[in-house]
Amino acid sequence: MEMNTRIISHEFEYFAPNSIQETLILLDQHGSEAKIIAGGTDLVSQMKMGKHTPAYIIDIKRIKELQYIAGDMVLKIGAGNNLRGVMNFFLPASVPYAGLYESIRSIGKTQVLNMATIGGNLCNGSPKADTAPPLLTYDARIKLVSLKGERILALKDFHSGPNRTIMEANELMTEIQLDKLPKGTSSAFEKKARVGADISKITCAVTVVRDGDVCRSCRIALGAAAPVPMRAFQAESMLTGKIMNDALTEETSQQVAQEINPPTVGRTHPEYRRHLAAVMFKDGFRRAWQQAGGGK
Amino acid sequence: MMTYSIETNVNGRPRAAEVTARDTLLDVLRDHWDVFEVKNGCEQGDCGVCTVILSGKAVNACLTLAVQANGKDVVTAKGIGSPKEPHLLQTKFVEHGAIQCGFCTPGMLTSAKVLLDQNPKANRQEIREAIAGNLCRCTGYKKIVDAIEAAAAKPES
Ligand SMILES: Cc1cc2nc3c(=O)[nH]c(=O)nc-3n(C[C@H](O)[C@H](O)[C@H](O)COP(=O)(O)OP(=O)(O)OC[C@H]3O[C@@H](n4cnc5c(N)ncnc54)[C@H](O)[C@@H]3O)c2cc1C
Ligand code: FES
Ligand code: FES
Repeated sequence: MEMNTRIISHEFEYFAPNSIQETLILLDQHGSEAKIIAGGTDLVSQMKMGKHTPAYIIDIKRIKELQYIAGDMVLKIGAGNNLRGVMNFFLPASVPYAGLYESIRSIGKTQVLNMATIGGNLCNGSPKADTAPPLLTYDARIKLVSLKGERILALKDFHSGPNRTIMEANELMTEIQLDKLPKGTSSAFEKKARVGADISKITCAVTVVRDGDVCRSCRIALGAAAPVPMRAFQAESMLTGKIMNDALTEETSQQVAQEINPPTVGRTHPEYRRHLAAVMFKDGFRRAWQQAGGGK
Repeated sequence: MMTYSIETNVNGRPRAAEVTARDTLLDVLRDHWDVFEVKNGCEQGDCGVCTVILSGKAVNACLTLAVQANGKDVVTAKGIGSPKEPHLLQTKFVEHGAIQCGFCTPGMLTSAKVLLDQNPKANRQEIREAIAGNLCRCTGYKKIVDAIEAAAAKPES
């Protein structure tokens, strides 16, 4: 277990660029020796634990260009938005994205929600990041920019291992993109933590497109269930176009439990995680299904 | 060793310091400016005793680099009111016995102050959410929530 030494024991240089362009120039110069700081809620602790010892810190908190939420057919969320701002944007009334709202709300601590950014939650690369599962079920895309150009990729291809992503040292995440969800869509997020408002033991997000009794499609994603936030594609396929009943939900939940790849080390026994995955899928599915049907 | 000159305004008083980039706002408040009402607990965002109001928002000073606070306003429990002129929140904390050892109190007050600034008629649920990032090992929270509720403006009748 890492220890919080309570001080950042290494020296570094600090930059506070005012624009994306300035940031990219700094990243180009210092890339591999630099770390971006957004809210700092992950990075500052990690530096106190000696997990990261960057020679340069580039603060993007002041960059207004990264703080917007806009768009109709494609909703674009600037990576620099703090979690509170994103949560308030998706108040529960916006049923299709209820899962994202719930995931941020589950983080709970006011101060963290004020400081932490959505880009930081993803770029930190943790398999436990709470916004990742709902965003995965929306087939979110992310935009990575460097002086050499930009690339847009599916969030599901972003994480490459525990606390690792495919982001290059000279790249900045600028945006998260969500396609407008079809009519009849709703989503939900379930989280099991050791205590309330804590880092997750396991999470499950479910997004369903409902047409009467028929499940047009269902997308399922889990956090802290594998080395990276993951989709349960096989379980999803069991529900496509099906008339829903309890037996089918139960059967699908068993597939979810099979499909996860829980860590074998740590506090939580893998079998317990599998059991939780099944239960949380059922709870999440039930809520999303009801909301999609008009909240009955 | 590279240093940075920072200027802030703490409880209405201009403050300056020469800091290194790795100094947290909590370090500088306590070690340079003697602002001891901002407490030092876990130093990793868990306990909330270091909560200050930075440019109107409740943040953890232990997770904020001092350089990031440059040019900003900082309000602490002492900036909310003084023994001579206590803020209603402070009066209600005393009246309701919402303080036992007192270690969590400055953080509770700053979190509660931001809540009431934004939502003067906050209900109990909203109060509980606003202090979800502040731990208290003594009171069991009920008296703290009672005190903040009593300070929240009653609906106009
Ligand atoms: C008390 C506490 C409780 C927490 N509870 C939860 C919880 O319940 N669920 C949860 O998911 N998280 C939780 N967290 C973790 C953390 O708050 C989140 O992961 C947060 O969203 C990180 O965002 P940040 O802006 O603070 O990131 P930072 O710490 O600033 O950065 C994190 C990482 O991402 C990189 N980065 C940040 N932004 C960008 C960008 N735009 N482009 C490229 N790289 C970037 C940084 O270089 C760094 O490596 C908690 C943290 C604390 C302190
Ligand atoms: S000391 Fe900052 S949250 Fe505990
Ligand atoms: S009064 Fe002692 S921690 Fe709250």
